[in-house]
Amino acid sequence: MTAAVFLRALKDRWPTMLALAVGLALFLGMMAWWYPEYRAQAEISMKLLPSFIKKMMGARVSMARPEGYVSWILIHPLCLAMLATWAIGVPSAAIAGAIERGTLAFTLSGPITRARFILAQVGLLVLGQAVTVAACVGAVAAMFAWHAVVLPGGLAGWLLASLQALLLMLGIGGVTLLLSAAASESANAFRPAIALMMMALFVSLFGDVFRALEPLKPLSPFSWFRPYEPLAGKETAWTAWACLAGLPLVTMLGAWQVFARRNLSI
Amino acid sequence: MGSIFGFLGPNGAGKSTTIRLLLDFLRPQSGAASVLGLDPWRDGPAVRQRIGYLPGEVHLPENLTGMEFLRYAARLRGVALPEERLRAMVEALDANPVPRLKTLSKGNKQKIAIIHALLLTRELVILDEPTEGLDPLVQQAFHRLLAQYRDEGGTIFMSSHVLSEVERLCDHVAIIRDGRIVEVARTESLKANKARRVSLVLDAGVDRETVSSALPDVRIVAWEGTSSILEITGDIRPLLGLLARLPVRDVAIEPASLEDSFLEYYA
Repeated sequence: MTAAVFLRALKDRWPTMLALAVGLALFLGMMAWWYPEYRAQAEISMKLLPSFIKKMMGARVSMARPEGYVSWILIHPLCLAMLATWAIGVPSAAIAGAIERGTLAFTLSGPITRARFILAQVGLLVLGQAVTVAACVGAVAAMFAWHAVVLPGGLAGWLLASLQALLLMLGIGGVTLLLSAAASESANAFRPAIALMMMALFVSLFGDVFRALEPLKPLSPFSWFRPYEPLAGKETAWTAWACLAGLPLVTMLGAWQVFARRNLSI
Repeated sequence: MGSIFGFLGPNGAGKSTTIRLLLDFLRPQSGAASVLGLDPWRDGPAVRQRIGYLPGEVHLPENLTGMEFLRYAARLRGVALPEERLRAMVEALDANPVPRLKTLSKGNKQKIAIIHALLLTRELVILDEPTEGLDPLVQQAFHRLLAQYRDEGGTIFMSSHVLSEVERLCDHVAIIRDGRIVEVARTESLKANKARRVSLVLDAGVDRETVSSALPDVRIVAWEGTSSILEITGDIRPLLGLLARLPVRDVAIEPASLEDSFLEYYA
């Protein structure tokens, strides 16, 4: 039953997944293609930037370094928008959207538990996000290999950086799934999800610029997103991994509980 | 042989809410329910495995064809699509499961939804306002499918506010008012307790007393010259016996209707 719902949802969504994967691979491949040129001019470009942007961009690791550049392009607004299209779009359509369209009644009138229904949606979210993240990181890694840019972390570094990106996006997806489990219209899931994501990103980026925002940084999953560490061959703190992994876990379990207990006027 | 159970009530009486409770879409604050001997909240999947369902408002996955939708429903239940039964239903309803559902009219989508409800289970089907959007010809075909389902041993639980349809189809009826069942009875017995109206035209010379003394249980609603209107409850044979002895020029007996019973609870 879970497989039937999962496969049905996958059949509906695979063109979107494929389009996002191709788009991300092209965009990040292109960004990675420019890296050698950027590195040559990095010193001059950083001098030209206003001080607050310098702080924001170079707070943790220099963008001139390959691991810093990869970390930056992974949260480039266009990349983030494409990754979040899946992380926010799929869960908001899965429950709240299905209620809004009126199609949930047919699925849930079958012998499927709400837990299994949620599991199928989580499966789709994870699969699509894994594919899109793999497309991102794979394209960058391939382009760096082409330019013979070697990262100290090696293959393990790329894999751990990918895992961090995957967990970050699953966290956003989990929050959206939780909102979707409680809502009856997709807009009531994706709008607050987008707002929360933007706030979290804002806090993470500007926490290094404005002191007032600094105490809020631990609340933002973007603050725990440190792909430059494994790429540089350094270890990421277990607290960062726990926060990145904890958010999707907690929100998905929350979504299951909320959806299992709620009344559905369908 | 199964049964067709009509669930009657006006808009807002609680028909759809009851159905949603039985399907575990809504969770009750109190009370209990049993469907096929099982608790629909504790044993939800086991109950729904044996139930077909047609919602009041049909919204099908628009990007699928009718066949894809039915195959998906079968996979969800872990059963094979009964091809022969499907073919018979498609033929009976003149449905077209080939095009994408978004291209179908409301009535044609309703046909696919009806097939979905009746196709995969043999024990119980729950229909919420099933004939909305169907033209009279398709309604007749649908009624034949329901009768066939019943004759094969299945039970149909059908909510409706179309009283003539319930009267024609249902063996048993429950009437719900403000969320409470106020009457459960066989359709025939519900009608039998209602008065039939008899319009009578007699030759001149027969007076009111002749009738009222011979049939004390008959209520004379109007008596003007040779025309009269009577109301009779229960056995009609004494009236027929009297009419055989009287100089009757014309007689019309209106059957008791479910509507009378229904309106009694809502008047």
